[in-house]
Amino acid sequence: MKPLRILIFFLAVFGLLLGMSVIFPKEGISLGGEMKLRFASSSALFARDSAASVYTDSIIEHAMVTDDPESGMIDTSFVHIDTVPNINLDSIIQARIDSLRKTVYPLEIPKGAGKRLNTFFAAAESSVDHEEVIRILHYGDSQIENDRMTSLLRYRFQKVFGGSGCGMVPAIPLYFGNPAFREKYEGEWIRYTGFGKRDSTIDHNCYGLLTCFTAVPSAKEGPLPAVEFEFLPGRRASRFKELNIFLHAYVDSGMVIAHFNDTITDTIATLKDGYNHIKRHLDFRAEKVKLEFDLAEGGRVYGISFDPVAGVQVDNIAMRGSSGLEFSRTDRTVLDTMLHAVNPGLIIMQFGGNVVPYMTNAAFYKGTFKRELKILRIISPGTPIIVIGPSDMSTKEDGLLTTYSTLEPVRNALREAALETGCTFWDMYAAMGGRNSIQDFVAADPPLATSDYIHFPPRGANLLAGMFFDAVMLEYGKYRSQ
Amino acid sequence: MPWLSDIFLFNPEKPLIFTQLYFWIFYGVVLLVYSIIYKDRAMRNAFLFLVSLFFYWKTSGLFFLILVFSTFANYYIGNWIHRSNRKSSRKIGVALSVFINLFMLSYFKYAYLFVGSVNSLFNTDIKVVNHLALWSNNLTGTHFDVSVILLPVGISFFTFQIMSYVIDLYRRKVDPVKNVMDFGFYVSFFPQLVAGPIVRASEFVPQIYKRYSLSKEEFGYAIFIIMKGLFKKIFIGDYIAVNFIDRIFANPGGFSGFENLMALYGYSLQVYVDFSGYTDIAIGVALLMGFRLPRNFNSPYKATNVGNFWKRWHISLSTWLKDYLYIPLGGNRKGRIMTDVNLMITMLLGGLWHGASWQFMIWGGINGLGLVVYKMWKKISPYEHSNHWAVRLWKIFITFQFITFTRIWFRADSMEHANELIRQVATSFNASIIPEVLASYKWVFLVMLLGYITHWVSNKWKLALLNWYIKTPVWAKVLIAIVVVFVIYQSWSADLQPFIYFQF
Repeated sequence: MKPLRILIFFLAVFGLLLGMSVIFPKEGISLGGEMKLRFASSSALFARDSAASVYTDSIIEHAMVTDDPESGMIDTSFVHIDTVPNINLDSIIQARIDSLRKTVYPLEIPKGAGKRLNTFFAAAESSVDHEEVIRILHYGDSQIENDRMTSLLRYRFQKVFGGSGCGMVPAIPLYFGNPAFREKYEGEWIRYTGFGKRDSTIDHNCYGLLTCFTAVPSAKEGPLPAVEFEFLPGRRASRFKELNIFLHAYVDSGMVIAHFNDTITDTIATLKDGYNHIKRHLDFRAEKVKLEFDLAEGGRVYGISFDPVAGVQVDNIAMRGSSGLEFSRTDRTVLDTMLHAVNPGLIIMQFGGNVVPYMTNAAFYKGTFKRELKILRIISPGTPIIVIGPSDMSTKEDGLLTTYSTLEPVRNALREAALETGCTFWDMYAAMGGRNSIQDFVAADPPLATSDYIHFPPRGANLLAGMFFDAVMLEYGKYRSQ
Repeated sequence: MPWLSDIFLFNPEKPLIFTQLYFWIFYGVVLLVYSIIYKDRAMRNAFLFLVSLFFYWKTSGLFFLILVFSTFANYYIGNWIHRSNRKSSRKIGVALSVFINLFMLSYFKYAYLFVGSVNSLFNTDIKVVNHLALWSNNLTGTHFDVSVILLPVGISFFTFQIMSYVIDLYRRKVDPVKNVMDFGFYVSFFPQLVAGPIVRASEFVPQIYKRYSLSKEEFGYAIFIIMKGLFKKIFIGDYIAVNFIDRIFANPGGFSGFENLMALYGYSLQVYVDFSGYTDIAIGVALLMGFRLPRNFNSPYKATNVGNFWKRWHISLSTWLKDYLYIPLGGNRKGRIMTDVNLMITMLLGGLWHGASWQFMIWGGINGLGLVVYKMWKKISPYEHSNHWAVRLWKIFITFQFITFTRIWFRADSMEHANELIRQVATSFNASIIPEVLASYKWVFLVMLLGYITHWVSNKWKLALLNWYIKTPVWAKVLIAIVVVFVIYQSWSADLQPFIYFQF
């Protein structure tokens, strides 16, 4: 077989494929249902990729990102008040603002919202002096699972304003992997959520601040049900001085027995029937905490929080599959009570990604999301709310990856909902480079987004969280210079 | 003219690989010129050397200079070894070549592992500096980043290939190639340059001096194996990776034990179809130009024990490690304990060859242990020589489970992720969501099933299909190739599987 004949064979195959690409319908041939036959159009076959976004490239190239938000590499925080006591802070802040102005994708702040943000800055600044904890509630979808994004925000906010500890967590997580601790549990605990598919056997809507609770098994038989947290050493998120437990007991006289470091035992007796908030100050370093629940008829744990005595705390409230529409479906009594107990200074709402693939009516989503924001404004008046829009997400069209056509309408719906309710908005999609920027994140080495072209590994999440933090700090700088 | 720069300039985001249209256009142009000059052997070899360098330039950019340096250095050292009659000179020559090759490999591949290990062992904070880039910047005013050392594509393959040539010259097992162009052609032949197989000089060099020949049967086989490789790599491997496996491995802690386990089984298939698919294409592409590359995979998941697996998996590497590491270490000639020690050293270094991290060492170590344990077990097993189908099935099953288990360290991005995966399988298996997972990812699981079935199906059937294809007329081969490309396109262009949540 001569090479020329092989060449002719290849040319025949290639030529026929080219011919097919010309005549094959661009929209494909439907086989019914979700099945569709496709073939590349001739234009797609030789299409040049759109030029890589210089902006996105620059973000990726200059990002000092690591998997670990607490690693030294990533610690380029805005200003470290505690480390520069003898320097004129204002000049540092001014210089930093100037450099941030060039690089930060800023917050969009409607009239009136700036004042509320300043209230947060003021409270956060004075939290150490006033010995109080100011809380940032970071609600979001699967993009923030396993403390992604939140861990970096927590670390940086705490570096600036003080504070430590990992915040509020459910008794039993969806899956294990919190970077601050390793967790074990004993007993038949079941986690119920107020987002996603609700369990039809639950006859109430009391899900609390974390929008989920964990049912405590009855202590009538066998060993007491328990959860155990072993904190990883050397991390700010592992250091805490206050232990807060939010739970509901079904009868009087229940007990929670706390064991610290396998040596100290503290029995918290006589829980009342109904909602209980247990608060314990620890004057020692707890590296291991085991909580046994002696509740005769069982109960439900709304959350366990590991907090500082003073400073800022940031809670990671990941709601897998959620579009941020759960508050209107949640009983407000427990939500209200918990919210007031934790002293919220700022609420972050990061949603939209779960709407993008299925969105048919942006106006409807805007309306429903607006309703949720209004509810939050009612139950926590004065607390500033920042809405973070969805990040870039790709799908395939004609075999080529491209941003969902519904993404920008969803982003716009969230932006309008936020601004019309006096909330601040941060456009993550634009901040990361806009259309098709996720492709650069996936192509980065090491990757900053996963191959579903939607989610971020810790490295990518840290990059975006850092950008958001800088945007908040830009406003803080303005507040300081006023 | 952007299309001109697209064709000739290096773009790290678009390496020249078999799964891209651009490669096949490149190959078409190569065939065009080849069909004119193939009768002139010197010109043919020089042409293939140059297009191979271009291929490597398009794949790795300026790293092609490393390939050129390695080619020249080892060619002349090899000649010196061959000409020298003094044993000491020959030893110095082979030692120098091995040093140069291993130094290059260590510099580019293991610098970070070495520095990281020193830092964690001695609590130091040494930073990796690219001295090559620094030297170039100082000398020629280039602006290479000195803070990173990038890994040239395929360096592990061509380094081992070059070492085998020089060592075989030292052992007087082969004669040297006639000129540096021929040697360059042997080292850099583009079909096998970046992912093997690792071709021995004794297998390839004689072909350099032979006339081109290709029978109709070989032509049919080459086209068949190229289609098979593309199907395995794109239709099966890429689809299940993008839509399922990569997502789970990116965040094992975020998924149930069942999903993690399925991702692991999926990965066992993916790594096979990906790697063997690539070498299938390489073998087919080379054969169409008249060059026969050795078989690299032989249905590895049909292996009945770990030893048998390593005779079927990445055969060119296994035999390389046996001939140039295990046997020189003493092989099985120095007693039972030393045989085991030699096996472990070979597998640990074999693990390290695959990647510069402790995970690959663990992977190699577990495989080594598997080999050692099997050697002991086969002495006492009553079923070792049984040919009963149930025994054989059981052995295949157990071997496959073991190999899949070792993949945890091969695939996980970090030790943390490997531990998370194991923890999820052990503590959060979540059997209740199995039906929902299977239903939601039905296409992924169907493709996985197809992959495993086609792997485990009898060789007789596979051979029958191959023979049928070979016998078809050329026009039918053209039509079948079009159908195969069309089918592969369906998988490649399929919508990304949306993220599905099974438990909240």
